[in-house]
Parts: sequence; structure tokens; C-alpha cells
Amino acid sequence: MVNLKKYRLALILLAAFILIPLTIGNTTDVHNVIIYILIYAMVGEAWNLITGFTGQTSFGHAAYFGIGAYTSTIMLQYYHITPWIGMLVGGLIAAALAFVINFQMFKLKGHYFAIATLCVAEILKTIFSKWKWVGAGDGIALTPIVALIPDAPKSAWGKIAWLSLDVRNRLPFLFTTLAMFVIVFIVCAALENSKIGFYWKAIRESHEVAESIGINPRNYKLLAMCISAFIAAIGGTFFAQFFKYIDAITVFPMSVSMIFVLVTVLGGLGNIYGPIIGAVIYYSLDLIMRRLTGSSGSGLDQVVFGALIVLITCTEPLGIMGIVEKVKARLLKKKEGGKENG
Amino acid sequence: MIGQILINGLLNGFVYALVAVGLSLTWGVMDIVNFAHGEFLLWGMYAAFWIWSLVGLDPLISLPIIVVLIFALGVLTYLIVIRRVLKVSGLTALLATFGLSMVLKNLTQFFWTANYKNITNPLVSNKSFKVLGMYIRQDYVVAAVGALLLTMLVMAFMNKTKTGVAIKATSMNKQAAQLMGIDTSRIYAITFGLSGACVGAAAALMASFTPIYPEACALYSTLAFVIVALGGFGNIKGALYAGLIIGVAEALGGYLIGTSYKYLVVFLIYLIVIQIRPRGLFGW
Amino acid sequence: MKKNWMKKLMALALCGAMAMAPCMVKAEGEIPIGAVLPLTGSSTGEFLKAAMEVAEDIINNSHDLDWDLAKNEGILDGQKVALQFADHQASADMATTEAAKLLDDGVVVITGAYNSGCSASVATMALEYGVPMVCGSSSSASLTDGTTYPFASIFNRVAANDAQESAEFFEFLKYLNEKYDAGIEKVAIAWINNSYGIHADEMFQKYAGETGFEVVASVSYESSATSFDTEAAQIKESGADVVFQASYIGDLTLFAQAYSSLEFEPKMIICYCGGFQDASFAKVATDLGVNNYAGGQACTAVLADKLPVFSYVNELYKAKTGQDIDGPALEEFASVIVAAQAIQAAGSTDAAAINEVLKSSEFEAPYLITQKIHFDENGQNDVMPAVVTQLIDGAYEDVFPIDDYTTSEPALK
Repeated sequence: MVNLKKYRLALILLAAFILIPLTIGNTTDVHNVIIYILIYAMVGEAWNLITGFTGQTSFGHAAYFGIGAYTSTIMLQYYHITPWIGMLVGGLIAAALAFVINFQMFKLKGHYFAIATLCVAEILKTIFSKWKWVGAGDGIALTPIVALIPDAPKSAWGKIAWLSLDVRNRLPFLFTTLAMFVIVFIVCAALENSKIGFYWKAIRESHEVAESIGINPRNYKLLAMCISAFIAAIGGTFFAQFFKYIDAITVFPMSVSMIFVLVTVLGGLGNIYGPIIGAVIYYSLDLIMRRLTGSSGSGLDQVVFGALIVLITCTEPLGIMGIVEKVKARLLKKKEGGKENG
Repeated sequence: MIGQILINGLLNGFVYALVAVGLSLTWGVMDIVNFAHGEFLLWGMYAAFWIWSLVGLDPLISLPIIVVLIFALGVLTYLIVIRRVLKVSGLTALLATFGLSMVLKNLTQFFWTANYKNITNPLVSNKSFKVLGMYIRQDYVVAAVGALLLTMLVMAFMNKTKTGVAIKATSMNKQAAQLMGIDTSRIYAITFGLSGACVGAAAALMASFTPIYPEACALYSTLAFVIVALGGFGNIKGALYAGLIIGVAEALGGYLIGTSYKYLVVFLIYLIVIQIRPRGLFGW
Repeated sequence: MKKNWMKKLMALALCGAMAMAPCMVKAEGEIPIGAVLPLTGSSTGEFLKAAMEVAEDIINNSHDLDWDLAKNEGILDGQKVALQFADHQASADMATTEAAKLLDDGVVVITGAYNSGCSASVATMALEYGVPMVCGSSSSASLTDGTTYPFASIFNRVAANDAQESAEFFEFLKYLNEKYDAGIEKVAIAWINNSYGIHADEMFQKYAGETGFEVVASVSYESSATSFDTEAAQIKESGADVVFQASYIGDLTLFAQAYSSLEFEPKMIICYCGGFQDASFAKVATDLGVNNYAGGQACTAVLADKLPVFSYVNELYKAKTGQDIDGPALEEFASVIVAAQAIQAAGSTDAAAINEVLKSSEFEAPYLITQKIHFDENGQNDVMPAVVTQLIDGAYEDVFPIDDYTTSEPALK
């Protein structure tokens, strides 16, 4: 049975995400930020699977993210198929691509592999920016639901069926995204604690050790990559539904891949809480900086933001969760010390 | 026509190579992915611009000054940032340098706005040599020759000087190097500084024909990563050859397949080559 | 306990974020107008913002001009207009969220966004709120073709679109052939691979075909490329008599240098609304010693004597930015003026009423050569605002169409 006590932090976070948007954070800015956080944390969790748990650094997860975004958008805009199905199809395509590409690529070591993943994403970016059917440089704009289905129920909850953003009230979309994130989190936690997760971490430590246990590292790496791609694609779908407009330079570039890396490492690589904590800190800071100084166009907000990132990584290289673990360890030591003396 | 394209690509390649050599030093030697590499280049270009604007020195003449400036920037980066994240996973260092790149890039915007700055009427103009019906730009030739000379200088430094050999030793085995009495911390600082110096030189060479603005160096950065990996980590000569290959591939690919696909060809070449030689062309 | 510690940290962060929100609340008696611009990541943003601030000044304060809007203080009985700026950083997704923020804050009209892709994002968001949008300088024809996007009902655009521009450019070429025996037959285009460039290319090909010119090359490029020598070489190789460019200032400068280094001087290089209009290009052209660059613009500083209102506006703009106002900035200025005029005519800040006015009225525009603005049912300003200007010796001379405002004959090699 699930040890609820172990996931106290998760429950607290969940409560926060449900309560804050409804009460003190009931503003556009906070809603937007939370949606951003959830989408990027979702993909961060996916990225964590292959890089954090399995130890294969990928700099090109935007490839799968973008495929998810484009697939569901094409299916919705051209064929009027709901994004709920679109995201699954996108996930499958992304996983298939991951399988085909990485079958060969896993032969590569560390840095070479990382650069190869980067190249894949960039190649996709160029292809999608010239491919007429997906809009080439124009991208695809999602027609608002009101125009698409004139008789659709006007209520906010009715629109959830289309996973569409009800602009006057972002809450339904926010909670849908939250629900999806919770599912992803549970899946990743389950994987981490399963035999598969154990093998992944073994592979991360050393290929030889893994082989000596009797598993084929490449198969498990492929598994990690495919699951990772699938989830990343789902994140892409949510992104497309939120912004209602995508093009190649919005979803495929290296800067997007780096966001996934950033939030996860900031929060704590290899830690299930890493992506969500990192995303919370990253986007909250980003918004605060932007509102404080941003609209002047001076770039000062980004300077301070970057400096803060440098500061955080320099003072706590293991990410925020690293701090948490340290504090935990210290408290544990104190308790034991106390017990001995008492 | 194709000859002209090829030669332009090659000339471009020399400059790419110099930028990549700088990255090769930090990545190959210290195993640190310096995401701020492109921003070092950017600061070199702004330095070149302001020296030209305020003092009137052409970048080719102020090159030594810029080299020293960005060398200092590299050392500072090591002392303030890199030193603290050395012990932890490479990805944390990456994050730190990413933050640094944000700071550096947006500082240029904060100080000097996003307006394009151009150096006009440079020492070497953009007129072309006319050779066998081909137009070869003079400023490209000078930049390429400069880049090649400097790359060879760096290689000579690595092979012939005591510090250079110490850097190589440290990159191969840090503990052994320490046992041999090498002050690895000092070596790392110098390596970062050297990386900056390479990029500062490249900036000075390019400043006369490239528009200077905060986003100017993003692509050079990405290409540098691919070039270093293509050439093989820890191999400076590899970075040079890979840079040339990429420069030619970009030009030829653009000409033959379509100019929008220039970089697709570059990335595809990397993927193909790496299948055949998984450690890069010359890696070990 | 550490868990509380984490929760506190997060709550603090989110509270801080939310606390920033009230900063955008408008003061009493002020009419908020939103403006989403590329303030960072692009050089143009600051100039557009300055132009809009000049408009705000003209509307809100009393100026000694023969123009009611300028003479009076504010609109709707003295209420002041308050511009609220947001930065979309040339990114379509940022444009969406920033527009949503402004619309939530209750802006009565929204303007922007310069980059055509971002204007589309902002318009899509405005459609959801039913708030009218007045777009100043985006040039992609797709914004007002009535089919690509669904927001025709609330969208209005001041600038000429690339279809209108193309039509005018080819008229100009025909004129050159007829009057000056220029012998122009072959045309080529270099275009940046985004919304702006794709449609410029489409329109170019369409009008070239209709007017009987032969298209010998269509070269597309990515803005992020490190150099454009291959592209320039291809254009030269095509043997075109006249080259069209759909480029922003950075790429245009590089192309200009590349053409110069290849010693390629076509009879004319005609630029769509983008980099050519940026005043810094004048310097580039002068330094290279070339006079064959031309492009469409809503106005030019050379005409200051003939248009007193324009001249006055230009002086205000120069005081802020240190350079003459260019076409795109003037169009953004116009978008704010039109917004204010529409609110005034509607008599209220009701979105539907303002929208009605925008779609049906003719707006007085004494700062433009054409003197007026009128939007068709898809939102396009059908009073062609742009004239063909040519950079001759560093000045943007009005060379076409031939009327009272023409300042110079075109310079042909």
C-alpha cells in the first residue's frame, strides 16, 4: 500500500496548488504562473526519468515536447479531434521517435549523446519551420472554441471537454493541468520505487554493475527514453492548448530544452520533487522580476534573475531538494544524538 | 560559383573553429559545459565596438586588448562561479553557467540597448578579392587567417609550454596531476581564462563585419557545442578540423539544398559522423 | 519543521508574485489602452513605445495645432488616456499571456504588436474578450485576409499590408520602365522565414505574375544565421534586375554588406516594411555608398515642411529618441490616435460601441500624407498609407506615387 507519510510534501504541495489559486492568488498573473509551472514541471519529471534516474543527459527534450504540441494541434485544428486523444497520439509518436532515434544513439557516451539529442531537436525545428502542411514559419493558430463549435455549451466546465482555455476563468484549465501533473507525478514515483527504477539507478551508477545484475542496459535506457518522450509530448499538448498558437521556434529550440534542464536541476536532479520545486521557484522569480522591472524593456529583470540562479547553484549545488535533504539529515542526527543523551 | 561558396564556408569555418577551441578547453579539460561561452564572445564583440567607438581603434588593432579583457572575464568566472560548483554534477555547473549567460547577455541589453551596433569603415573593408571569377571577401580572409594563426598558437601553447602541458595533464587525470605538484586550481583558472582569450580574439576578428546585439552570439554558441563534440572532446586539433567541416557543410548545404536548411545539414552531419565514430572524429 | 519551511517558501514566492498584480490598476478617470510590444530582444520596441507615448501626450495635453484632438486635453470630457505597456519579447506565447494580463486589467482597446505572429496572438486573445484591437505596423496580409485567422470582427490595422505594398511596388517598377526606360524584367526576393517573410513572398510572386515580371529567384533564410553570403550569391547568380527584401534591420544590413562585397548592384532593391525603415539603415547605405535601396513608408522626414502636424509629431519624437520618426513608429502612433478617436466618437468605453465606430468611420489623420484612415470589413486600412521612398544620399525621398508630396525623382543606375 502506498506509504502516505512518505509523500507528505507532495500532499502539501497539492493542497497549496488547489488552495492558492482560489484564494490569495486569484489573479491572472498567479493563474498563468501556476499553469506554466505545472506544464514545465510535467516535462521536467519526464526529463528527470532519463537524465536524473538513468543518467543519460538529454539536451533535446524539446523535440518530444514539440511533437506532442504539433500532433494534438494538428488533430484539433485540421480534423477536429479532441486533444485528449491528440495527446495520446502525440505521446505515441514521440515515444516511437524516441525509440527509433535512440536505438542507435545510446551507443554514444555522455557528452556526445547529449549533443546528439540537441541536434535532433534542432533538425525537427528546421523541418517544421519549412513544412507547409504544419504551417511552416507561420505556425498553427487554434481557433477559439466559440468559433469552432457554435453550439458548444458556454459553461466553463463544458469547455474542459475540449481542454480549452476559458479565458475569463482560467481555473478549469488550471485544475485539469494540475490533475494531469498529479498523474504524471504518481507514475514517476511508482516507476522510481519499482524494479525498473532500481535498474535505472543501477545503470546511472555504472553500466558494468547493471550488466552484472543481469539486465541489458540499453533496453532499460530505451524504456526510460520512450516513457520520457511520451510524457513530454503530453506536456506539449497542454502548452499548445494554453497558448493557442505554436510554431517551430516556440516549441523546438534549445532554449526550451534548457528550461526542462533548468527547473529540474534547480529543484534537485534525480529527485522526484526536483522539477516541481524548481519550476515553482523559477517561474515565481521570473514573474516577480518581470513585474518589478520588466516592462521598461531594459532586461534588468533577466539580469537579476540570472544572478539569482547563479547564486542558488553556487551556494547549493544539489538544488533546493539538496538543501532539504541536508536539513533532514541534520535533524535526524540531532534526534539520534538527543536519544543517546536522553 | 560553387568554388566561391566553398571558400566562404571554409573561411567561416576558421572562425567557428577558434570559438570552438575555446569551448574545447573548458569542456574537454574541466568537463564543465560553459553555457556562457557565447556570451563571452558577445562581450568580446561589445568590447571591440566600444574601443572602436570611443578611442577609434579598429578591432584588428585592439585585438590584444580584447584578448586580455576576455581572458580576465574567464578567470573571474572561474573564481566566482565555477570553483564552487566543480565538485558536484556537471549539470549543476551547467545551470550556473546558464544563469551567468543570462546575466551577461541581459547586461549588454541593459547597458547598451538591443539596438544593432555596427562598426563602419573598418580597416579591412568588405570589398572582395576577385580570384578566378570568384568573390572572396577581404575581411573574411583576414578573420580566417587570424583565427588559424591563433588556433595554432593555442596548440603550440598546449604542447610546448609548461603550463600547457600541465593543463593537458590535469585534464587526463586530476589527482595524478596534483601528485605531480600541479596547482590544479591555478590551472583551471588559466584554462578558463584561455578559453575567454580565444573567444575574445574571435570576437575582435568578427566585429568588423558582424552586427552586434544581445542575441548575436546564440548560434555561434550552439555550433561550438556541436563542433567540439564532432571533433572529439579534449582534442583541440579536432575542434579545428571539425570547425572547418561545419563551415563548409553549412555553405554547401545551404547552396545545394536550400538556404533555410543550412543548419539542418550541419546537425545531420554530426548525427551521421557520430554513428561511425562514436567518440568524434579525433576523440579519445 | 522542514516541510513547513518549504511550504512557506513557496507561499511566499506566490504571494510576492500576486502582490505585484495591483501595480497595474488604473487611476480614476483614466482610460486604459493596452500596448503589447517587443520591448526586449529587439531594437525596434523602444522606438515604437516612444511614438505611442508621443500620441498619449498629444491626446492628453493641449497642443497648439490645427487639430481638435491635439488642442483638447483628453477625450470624453477631459478624461486622460493611460497607456499600459507589456513586453512580448518577440515571442508569440509571451504575447498571449501579456495580452491576457492587460485585458484582464480592463484595457478598453489593445494595440501592438509589430511582429505579425505576435499581433495574431494578441488579436486571438482580444477576440475572446471582445475588446477591439488596433494594430499599427504589422504587415502580414494574412492578418486581414478574412480566412487565416478568426478575429476579423475586432481587428483593425493601420499599416499597408504586403499585398497592397506589392501592388504599389510593381506599379512603381512599371512606372520606371515606362518613364525611364529602365528595362526591368527579372525580379528576385530574399525573405526571412517567418510570418512576415512568408506572406511577403506570396504577395510578391502573385503581383509579379499579374504585372508580367519574371521571378528568377526566391531565397528564404533564417534570421539566426551567422552570415548571408550564400543567399546573396544565389540572388546575384539569378541575374535579377530588381531585388525585393523582406528583412529586418539586422539581416538587411548583412545583406547590404554581402551585396556590396559581391559588387552586386541591381537597378533597385525594394524592401518591405521592416529593416529599411529603421533610421540606422540610412547610415549603412551611406557608408556603403549605395543609393538603390527603396521601400514603403507611411511618411518621411523630408516631407516635414509640407505636413505641419507630421513635423510637430516628429519633433516630439526626436526629443525622445534622437532620430526622425520612421514608418512603423508613425503607424504605432496612429494606432493610439485612432483608438482615442474611436473612443471619443463612441461616446463611451463600451467595447462593442468602440468596435462599431472602428469598423464604420473614417478617421482624420493629419500626420499622414493620405490625411485619413478607414478600415474595411476585415480590418485593413484601405487608404493606402505608404508611399515608395528611396534612400538617396542618406535621405528618404518620396519618389512614388507622383503627387504633391513627391520630393525627388528616383535614382536609377
